[in-house]
Amino acid sequence: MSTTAEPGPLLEVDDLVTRYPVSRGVVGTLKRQPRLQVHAVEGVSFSVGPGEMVALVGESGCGKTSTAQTVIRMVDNQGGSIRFAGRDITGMSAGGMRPLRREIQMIYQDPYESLDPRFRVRDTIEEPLLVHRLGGSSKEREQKVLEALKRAGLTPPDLFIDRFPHELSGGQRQRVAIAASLVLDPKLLVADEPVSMLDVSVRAGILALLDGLRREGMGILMITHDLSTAAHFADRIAVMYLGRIVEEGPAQEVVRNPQHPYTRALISVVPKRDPNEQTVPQILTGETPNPVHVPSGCRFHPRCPVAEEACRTIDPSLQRPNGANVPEHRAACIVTAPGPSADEVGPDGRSSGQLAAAALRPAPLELSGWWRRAWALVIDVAVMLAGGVALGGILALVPGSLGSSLRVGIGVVLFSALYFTIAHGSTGQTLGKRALGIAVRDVHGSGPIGYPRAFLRWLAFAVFTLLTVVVIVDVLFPLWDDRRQALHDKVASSSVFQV
Amino acid sequence: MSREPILSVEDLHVWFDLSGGSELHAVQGVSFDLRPGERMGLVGESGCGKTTTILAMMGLLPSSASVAGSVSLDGENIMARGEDTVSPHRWKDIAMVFQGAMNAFNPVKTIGSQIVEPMELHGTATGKAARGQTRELLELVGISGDRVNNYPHEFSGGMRQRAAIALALACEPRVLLADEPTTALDVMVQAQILELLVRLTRDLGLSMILVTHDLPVVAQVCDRAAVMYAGEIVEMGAMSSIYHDPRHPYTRMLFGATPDLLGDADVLSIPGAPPRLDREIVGCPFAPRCDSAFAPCATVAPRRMETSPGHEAVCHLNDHVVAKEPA
Repeated sequence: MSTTAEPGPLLEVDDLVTRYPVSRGVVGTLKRQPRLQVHAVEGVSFSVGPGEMVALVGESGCGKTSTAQTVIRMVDNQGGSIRFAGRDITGMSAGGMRPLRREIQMIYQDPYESLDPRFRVRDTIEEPLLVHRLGGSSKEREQKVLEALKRAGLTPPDLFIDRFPHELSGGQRQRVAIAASLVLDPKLLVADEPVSMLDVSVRAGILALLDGLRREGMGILMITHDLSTAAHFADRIAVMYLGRIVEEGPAQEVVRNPQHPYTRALISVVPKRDPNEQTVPQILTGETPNPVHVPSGCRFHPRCPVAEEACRTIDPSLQRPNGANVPEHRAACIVTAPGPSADEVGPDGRSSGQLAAAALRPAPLELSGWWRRAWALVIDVAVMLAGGVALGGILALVPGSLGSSLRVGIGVVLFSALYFTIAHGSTGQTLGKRALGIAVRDVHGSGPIGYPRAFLRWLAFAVFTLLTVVVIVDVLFPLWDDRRQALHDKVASSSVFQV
Repeated sequence: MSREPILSVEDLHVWFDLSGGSELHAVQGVSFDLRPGERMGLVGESGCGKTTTILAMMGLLPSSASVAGSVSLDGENIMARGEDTVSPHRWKDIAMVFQGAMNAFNPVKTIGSQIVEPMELHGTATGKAARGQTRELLELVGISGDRVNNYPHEFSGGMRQRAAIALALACEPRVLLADEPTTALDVMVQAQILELLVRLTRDLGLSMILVTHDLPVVAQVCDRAAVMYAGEIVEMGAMSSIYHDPRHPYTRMLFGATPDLLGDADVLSIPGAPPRLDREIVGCPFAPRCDSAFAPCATVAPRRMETSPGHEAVCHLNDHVVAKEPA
């Protein structure tokens, strides 16, 4: 558990927010169903120093893997910042990230899946070198592969280098996966549940290997659901619940002196090895709520055994609890870890998490007067006409059987229907309304305002579909020359197009 | 120890035919007794034969397997004439929660109809009575009876595992075999399920065999444990005596490889891998990985010795113990 004092942290994550949109489909869009998001990570801050192992602990769905994926920029974040070795990598392009990828490597959960079954150990470990154009000649590369195998504890390396994954045990496979990340000599290793798929008898070996790398100065971010493992091998533990870190601190301090009720409950249900050491497990009812609908206030309050009335409204921030023994120990609970400290609460008394959330939410809306709406309508009609005439003009150039003026008419209606369906169906915001600053009611609220109603949107969509079909049929006419006249007569006489 | 065993397994062997004519000796002479109301843990690494053992007891092994030995229920050998003698007892007397059972429900049938199925098959209840019982069973495992007509996808993982337990209890069995019932679940849900299993065995007088690779789970739930290695039970006894006085190095090393939340001891892995079971094993199967192996281990297979009442182990380290062999 030694922590080397180093100049600055390797990885600094500040107020990270990651959300995934929930697809609502064409029907959902047209019905203006609220646009939902999975709130995977909501304001997470932590740091990993060189030679330090930090464990993110939590149940499935708490956002620990999303945090890891965001940190390595596999997933884009919606807020907050990620700094690696002092550089802000939050908005960095894929090309800019490329040299950094060498320094940040990932180890995945399942070595039975993560290794290519048709690659020999040599190929698996050599591949990163080829991708990053490192390692020089094939002789030098082989030397690096052998070294990586040795570092990963597969000795003698000659025995393993030409094997296929199916000739290896689970523990050996995971060591190969680790060797493949070590070959690039990374500074930070992100290990997502590195031992959960392995047999108990070999887990300790893999963890000891990671521990050794940490002692050599590597920073390790370990994602795990196993508190015992985290307590044994990590320097610091951060306990996550529903996208937030609810408690963090030195590993032994967190498991021996837990402050947050969730951590306390988690620790009480970890089975002990000694059958005579029967603790009373504090079993929480239910399961982690759906991160689409996060509870108000403290997100743990619906399952919390000590929740008070205030917990429904106050979203607590991480702060040093009175019962903590070390200053680095922090928890987010107003009941068991009370006393907000000034630096973590915003000027209006809201926590940093609340402020971050508020910054992302659209501004509160207000309805404007009728005259503004009329002007918005005028702008929208102008946009529809202009766009429609342009579209009609293009249509008129395409060879077909319909007259030019009819084509322009079709263009206007088609464009208007499309504009209406898309602009209004998805966001509720048209160009006219935007121009005049007419706010639209939050889609999570009670529904659309102004001229659109669900019926109108469906009508617009139907008109759009119908006209599209007409245009396609019309364009295809010249292809069937002999039937052209007959079909032309039929379509032209159809009452639909006399509108 | 006073009561007669409800279930008694004697010298159970299972071989699997491998392509190429060789055989894999997956279970190599497993014997144990299960008493009424007892919770026994069957622990070991993957591939040690623990799941094969209980599948053999249910008569559910594939046709490539050959089985020898006896499984007696109330003194009657249910293996005597294969399927003919097993099937009347399957689910009615011995039921099972399968590994990954929560993902084994038919997605296009309601949970209720899938629990009714074994009742009607075995004739324990039909029609309205069966549906009524299903509601009661769901309530028993902590699911609202109103959800009887829900489909599996409407349940969370923990609820599906509860439903799988309800399914196993459909015909009021006396013995429940639970194969890794909490492996894919979160710690909190695992605690809920384990508490449920303990409550059910206590309230319904069920006997249970809990198959798992997780020693702490067995330590907290079971009265007795059998540790399996390479197809045989290498140590068996009361849980506390196994923990405090392990008589087989494998048991000791397995405990040593399991991190304890508040323990300070170093966590050490067991070097090497289990032996291949398609070859004959000479000497003690654990000898190549053992930290206390000595001369005879490589050549002579150790005998099963009772080191203290109810505690037996298969290890040469106990050879000096002058004790009777277990009957």
